Amino acid sequence: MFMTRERRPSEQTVAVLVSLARRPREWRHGYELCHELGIKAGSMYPILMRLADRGQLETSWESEPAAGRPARHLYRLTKAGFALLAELNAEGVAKARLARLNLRSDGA
Amino acid sequence: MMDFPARIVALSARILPRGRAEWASAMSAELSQLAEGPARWVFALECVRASLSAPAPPGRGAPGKVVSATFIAGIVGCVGTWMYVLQTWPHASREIAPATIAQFLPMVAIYLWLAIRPPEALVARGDAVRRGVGSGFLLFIVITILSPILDQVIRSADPDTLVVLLEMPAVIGTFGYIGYRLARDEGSFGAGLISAFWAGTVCSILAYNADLVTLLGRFDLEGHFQGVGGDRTLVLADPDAWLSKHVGDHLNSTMLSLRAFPILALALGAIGAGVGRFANRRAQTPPRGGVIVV
Repeated sequence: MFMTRERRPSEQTVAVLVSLARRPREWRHGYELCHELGIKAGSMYPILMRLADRGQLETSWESEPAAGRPARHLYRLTKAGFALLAELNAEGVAKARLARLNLRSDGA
Repeated sequence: MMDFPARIVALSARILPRGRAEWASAMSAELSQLAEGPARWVFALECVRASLSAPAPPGRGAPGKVVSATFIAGIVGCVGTWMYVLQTWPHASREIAPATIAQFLPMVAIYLWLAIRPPEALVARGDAVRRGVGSGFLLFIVITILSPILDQVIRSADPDTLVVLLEMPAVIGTFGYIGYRLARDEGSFGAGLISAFWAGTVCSILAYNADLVTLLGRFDLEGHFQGVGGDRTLVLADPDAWLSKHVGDHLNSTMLSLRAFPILALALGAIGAGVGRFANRRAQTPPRGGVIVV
C-alpha cells in the first residue's frame, strides 16, 4: 500500500512559515513579508496561495484601512500551518533550509 | 486615474486563474501602499509573474493530463526532429526559410504554454475541452492513418484526389461540427469556439510530427529516396547538397500542418458555433401565435 505525502515545502515557503510563526497572533501584509524575507512578490503570492489552499494560512482583510486606500490582505498561520512547521523542525528541515537562507529559526 | 504600475497590476488580475479574485485585490491593495518610484514598478511587474505562476484553485483550471502530455510529447517530438535534421544535414539550415523559423518558434512557445498553463478561459469549460481534444485525436487518426489505407484502395494517380475525397471533408466536418455541437448543447458560442480550438491545436501538433517523420523518413545519406510509389535510387553528383535542399524544403512545407489546423479550426469552428448558438436559441423560443387544440 502506498503512503501519500505532500511534496516538501521549498526554502522560501519554510521562510514564510517561520516568519509568520515568529509573531503567531499578528496579522501580516504580503509586501511586509516580501521585504523582510527578500522574497519577490512574484514568488511570495503563489506561496501564500498554496498555503491558504492547504488550510495552513488564514487570510483576512484590514478592518480599518488607511483613508483613501483599499483594505489590505492579511495573513497568519493556522494550527495546520504551525503543525507543518513543527513537523519540519522535527525533521531538521526548517533549520537546514533557513541556514541556507541565512535566517534564524529561533522564534519558530 | 491609474498610473502604469496600477494598470499592470490590473492586467495581471486578468491572468490569474478564476477563483483567485481576492488575490488580485490583495496585490492591488499592496500596490496602493507604495509611493511612486522603482519599487512600485518592480512590485507591479512581480504581480504579473505571480499571476502567471499562480496555482489554480484546488480542483479547477488544470488543462488535463491528456492535453498536457499530448502537447509536451508533440513539442519534444518536433524539436527533437529539427535537432536531428540539423545535425544530420547541416547544410539544410541554409534552405530553411526565415518564415519557417518565425512560425515554428512562436508555435512551439504557444503549445508549451497550452501544455503547462493555458489561460483560464480555455480550460474553464471542461466538456468543451474534453470533446475538442477527442475530436482532434479522431481527425488526426483519420487523416494520418486512414488516409494511406484509402490511398492504397483507390490507387489514384492524382494526389489531390485523396485530399478532396477524405481530408477536406474530414477537416471541415470535424471543426464545423464540434463547434456547432458544443454551442448548441451548451447554448454558448464560446463553448463551440473553444472546443474547435482544442481540436485544431491537438490535431496540428500531432499531424506536424507525423508529417515530419513521414517525409524525413524517406531520406538517408546515401541518396535513396523512398517515394510513395516505391524505392528509387538516384544518381547524384552531389548527394549532400541535393538532400539538404530537399530536407530544407520539406521542413518549410510541413509548417503547413502546424499553422493550418488551428486557423481552420477557429474559422470553421466559429461558423459552426454561430449556427449551433442559433439552433439553441430557436429550440428554446416558444412558438408564437399558435393555438394548441387538445
